[in-house]
Amino acid sequence: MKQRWIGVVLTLAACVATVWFWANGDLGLYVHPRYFVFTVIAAIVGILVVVASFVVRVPTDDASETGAARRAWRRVVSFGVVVACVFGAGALMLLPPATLTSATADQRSVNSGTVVGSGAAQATGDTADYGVKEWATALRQSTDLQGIAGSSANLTGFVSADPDDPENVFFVTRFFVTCCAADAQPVGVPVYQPDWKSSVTLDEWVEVSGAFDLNPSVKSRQPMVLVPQQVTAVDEPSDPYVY
Amino acid sequence: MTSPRLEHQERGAHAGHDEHDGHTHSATVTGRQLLVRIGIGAGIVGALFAVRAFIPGLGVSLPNRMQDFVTLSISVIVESLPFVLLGIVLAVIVQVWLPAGFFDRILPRNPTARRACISLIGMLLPVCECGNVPLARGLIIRGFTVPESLTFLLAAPILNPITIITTQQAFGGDPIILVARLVGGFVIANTIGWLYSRHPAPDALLTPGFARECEVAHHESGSRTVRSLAMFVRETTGIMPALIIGSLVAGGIQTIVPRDVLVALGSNPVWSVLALMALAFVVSVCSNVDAFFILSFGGIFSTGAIVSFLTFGPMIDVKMLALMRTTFTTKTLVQVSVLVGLMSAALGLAVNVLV
Repeated sequence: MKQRWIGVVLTLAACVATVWFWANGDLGLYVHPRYFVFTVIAAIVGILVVVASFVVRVPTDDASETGAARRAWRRVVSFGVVVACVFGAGALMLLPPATLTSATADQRSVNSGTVVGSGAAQATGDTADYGVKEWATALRQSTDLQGIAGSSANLTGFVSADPDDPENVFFVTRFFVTCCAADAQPVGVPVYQPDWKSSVTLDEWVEVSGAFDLNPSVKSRQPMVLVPQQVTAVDEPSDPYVY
Repeated sequence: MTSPRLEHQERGAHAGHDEHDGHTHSATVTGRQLLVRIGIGAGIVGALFAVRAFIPGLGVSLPNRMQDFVTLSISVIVESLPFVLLGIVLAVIVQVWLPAGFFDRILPRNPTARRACISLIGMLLPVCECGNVPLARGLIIRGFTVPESLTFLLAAPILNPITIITTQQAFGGDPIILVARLVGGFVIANTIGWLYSRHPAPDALLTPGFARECEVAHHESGSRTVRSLAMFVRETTGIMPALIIGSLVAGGIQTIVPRDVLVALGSNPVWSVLALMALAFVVSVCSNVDAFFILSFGGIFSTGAIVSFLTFGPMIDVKMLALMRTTFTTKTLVQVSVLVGLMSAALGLAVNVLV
């Protein structure tokens, strides 16, 4: 009988976790909002079918019945499978939901992809509503950096360090998500603040307001930076990713 | 070796019976038992929700990398779960509810033409790549040969309406990408199917566990509903551990391998093809949306590299290998991965040369 429980338990864990994430508004930490309806309906149906399956007795296909013929490494593999399943189910059921951190931002290199395909919204337009993603795109794509100098911006994101000059420059960072967190790409606007580590910490969510200027840092490869007038710590927004 | 098989047949024959009470109840248990069992099921679900709701109050805090590993893995699980469940449901429908001989009536007799039609089944049943694994298992149980199911498994994630629409939306201005993706997917899947149709004993490509399950499924009795639920449970037992493992491995690799290494290989006509295939293998993003994903890297990569990404990724990646391992032997998967990899790379390089 024991084999039957593996699938049932894992399905229930995944479905219950999905529904619970959704009910708490945390599903967006894992998948793009356009999949919410599909994902939640599938999870609810999954729960209902599993409960219904309690009514029938399922003939087990217990692989351990051929136990004598099994070699030692097979047992190791089976043990690994059990450990992975326990870990996976445990992570789904027990750990608090969380966003990706600056570790992934560093690992994926902030602004390594040219995130937005629509280069239509260029810096020539009204920049008052620009967020991190729009400014990051504008800084990357604009051929007229002098034209951006002086523009003011008010941006919210988490703090990740500029790998080239981690003392003086940090990124106001967001993750851009196309499907799920697995494909998240970090986008960020560089902020020049010497010794920023004395006032803000890595991964902290901040609101930065200031104006763009040429980058005074000699080590950083960012041509333009936001020179902050004010950096205030804020709570993590309910929708931490950008789409 | 014969005794377990006999035992399975015997157990299979009693599938619909309630052995628990020692009586030979019919498949549908009595009303009171039914209520009790539903009650137990609902109780377990309630308990899980309670656990999920109260434990995080403890406020565990993991180091950044560990936290991101967990977040990425959960993200892959949550994203794939609906497709896997949908795939299992379709597999159950194909196995239990379609009339016997349904596929034999509508598919051509000639093996090559038959595989060509099978590679287009995805147009009618648009499940994305992870859902195709349970569906392919259902098709084998239903009587598809192993090469036919491989053809389906490789072709369906690309030749399906959702993938075509999203690819068209993402790369509408560059029709060569969509055309190369569709033609490439069709040709690669049918080539693999043809190669394995030359195999002397195709059933040896299947894992013993799955071969046993086919055995059980053929000897099942009971009402269709009972058989459907039984198959659902068996399939989740086969697929869900693989999904969890595949997601953990995909999450783990993504936490460890720096992405800028791949991106840095950029627009070199040869290296970019290999780099994007490596990226596709690692990211394990669903075939329905991978076009948007790769589009977001903009003009960094060569056209051929994007074509390789869009053909290789849906067929072979970390998560898919874990899922397919439930059904096919490791040796088979290595062969298929290498063959698909070579053909995708050739396609990408050819596009780079021609465009």
